[in-house]
Amino acid sequence: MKKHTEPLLSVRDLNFKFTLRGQVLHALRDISLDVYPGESLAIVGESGSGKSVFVKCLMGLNDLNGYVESGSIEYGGKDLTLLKTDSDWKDIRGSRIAMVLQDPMTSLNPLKTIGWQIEEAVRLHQGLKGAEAKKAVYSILEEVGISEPERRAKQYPHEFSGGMRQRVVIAIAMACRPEILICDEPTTALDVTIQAQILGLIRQMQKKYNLTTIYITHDLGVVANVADRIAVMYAGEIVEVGTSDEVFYDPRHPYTWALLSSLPQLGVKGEPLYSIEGTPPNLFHEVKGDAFAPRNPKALKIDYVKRPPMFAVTATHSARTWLIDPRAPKVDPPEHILALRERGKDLVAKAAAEGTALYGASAPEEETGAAASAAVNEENGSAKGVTARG
Amino acid sequence: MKDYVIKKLLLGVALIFCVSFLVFSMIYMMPGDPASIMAGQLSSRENLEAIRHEYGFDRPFLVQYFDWIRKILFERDFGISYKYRLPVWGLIKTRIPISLKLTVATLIIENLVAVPLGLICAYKKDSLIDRLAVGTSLVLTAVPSFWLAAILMLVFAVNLKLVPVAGFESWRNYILPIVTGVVSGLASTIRLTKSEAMDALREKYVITAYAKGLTKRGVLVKHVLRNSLIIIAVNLFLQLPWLISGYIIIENVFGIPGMGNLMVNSIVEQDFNVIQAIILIITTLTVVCNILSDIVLGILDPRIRIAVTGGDR
Repeated sequence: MKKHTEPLLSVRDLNFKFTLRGQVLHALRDISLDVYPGESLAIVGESGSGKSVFVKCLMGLNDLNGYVESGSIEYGGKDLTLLKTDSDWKDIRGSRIAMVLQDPMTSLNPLKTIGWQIEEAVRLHQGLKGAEAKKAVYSILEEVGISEPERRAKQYPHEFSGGMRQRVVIAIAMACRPEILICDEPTTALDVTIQAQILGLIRQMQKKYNLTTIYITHDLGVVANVADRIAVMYAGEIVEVGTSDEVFYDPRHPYTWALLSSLPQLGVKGEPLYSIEGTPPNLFHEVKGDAFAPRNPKALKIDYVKRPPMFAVTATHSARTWLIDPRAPKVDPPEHILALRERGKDLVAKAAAEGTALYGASAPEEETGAAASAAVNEENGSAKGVTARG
Repeated sequence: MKDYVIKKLLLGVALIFCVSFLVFSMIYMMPGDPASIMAGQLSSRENLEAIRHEYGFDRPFLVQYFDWIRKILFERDFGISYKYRLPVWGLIKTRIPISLKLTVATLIIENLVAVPLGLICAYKKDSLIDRLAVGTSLVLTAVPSFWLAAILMLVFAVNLKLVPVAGFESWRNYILPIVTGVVSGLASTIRLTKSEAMDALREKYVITAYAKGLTKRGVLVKHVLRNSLIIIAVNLFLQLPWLISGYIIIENVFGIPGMGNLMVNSIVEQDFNVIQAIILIITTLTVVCNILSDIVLGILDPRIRIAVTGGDR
């Protein structure tokens, strides 16, 4: 198992704000996160939690009314928060970090052939021209699983199905030959059978080109399938981060509990699905204390008063909740979360025994990924025994 | 593509026929009878009957209609103007180029001004130039063109004596009418361009293009501009008939002997043959412009091209 002690990209105390009609929206609040080479990191959170804004910061693609207030993003010896103009970003956008957008129906230009759109990236980042560029386009198309590339390259996006278009979008990203691939909800717009294919394709590309991938998603099923590490975001901050096993089997933050509880796969047939009461806080106002406290039935007094810091659970796992503070009263997670913990115990122990870093490039689908996904994708029938929920 | 064009042409011809039928029935729907107009109010019954017979007004309606159509199609004969007692075609022939010159010049100048302005407004949304351009053009569009024409004439022709008041002999006569036409169409084109470009700027594929590493210039030219140009090109063709009808009044104010001028006079004089001919010509022009815009759309937008051709290119 490879160990990566040096992060590839390192975000420190990032604060990002938008000005909207005279009001200030605090979109990212003190985000700190390391991304290690070769890993798959999943950023999970509900809509509006700031996950898209966060990855757009890495590429300078946020709307012009947004600005970095403080913090840094160290990448390749540069601080990305200091980049302003397009020419500043030239060496990063596309060339080192590429992005696959959410909706393949709208993320391709409808008026250009897909060959043209891929060639644009090939010309920019591989420095090829004419027939050579065309050849590169065909080979990329073949690589992402599009047959008859020479005929398909001359077609327009509307002649492709959703899954095929997403393959094209991935082809464009891969044509850039990036080091980091950001996938912003890569499967949300696709039907389930296609989702698996697309995730498989991304993973295949990751292996082949030794990519580091960052997934943004609200679909925990996707996360369980692909992620080595998970960062859970809520109200513009990271509330919990850890390896896939740690977050799935030993979640510490009440929001993570709630998130896992709302998985239909963990529910009991015939019972209403769990949903989190209330709504996320309004980020136009400064949040006091723990942002999740008002929605947390088991919130402590201090949660309303003081914002919790990041507490380390293990070297790889930390959460922003007072529950981890030694002085805190013991609050047990919901029973089905305890049951999950029971099942994950062995895995987590094994991880701890092997040192700090479980996340690595070694066949994630066989170890971490598969174990986590087995738990999440378990059918109701067999899940019943372990998820007696109150 | 060929099938598409043929289909559009056939539809256009059918449409022109429908309009021609309506236009021809106008004579029978409106008060007054062409014979009495020609003969004058005090004419005797015998005289009226003679005129009716001479011009064929006593024949059945459909016979008259098809005779009218046949003459137009094969002899370019739109009948006789009741007022001038001259062939209608001869009257119109000299006026079409004048009206077309005016409208085409207006169209070109208006788009040369409005399209770049619209693009700048979209790109620099909410900037001073955006507010200024949109606000001013909106106010100017709300001003009726005949009033604007009169004011322009008063200021520039009568008071400042920069241009002649009326007439059509030199190019300087055309300045004020064209300015009037340009101003009244400006706002809609600016707004159309702006909203198209803003939609294009918001598209996901623009983010894809930035994420690819294209520079702002590259994104704007290759992705935003190209995509918003479709509607602008289509709009160009659709504006032409509007402008022609808009000039019906402006031509009158400036005394320019175009089709609009003739039309107003003919309506006043109940000169049906002339009115019919002009309506028919404007209709045909409208239909032709629509077909042209459809073809341009088909050429510029592959989604439509394929929808209509089933993929042959």
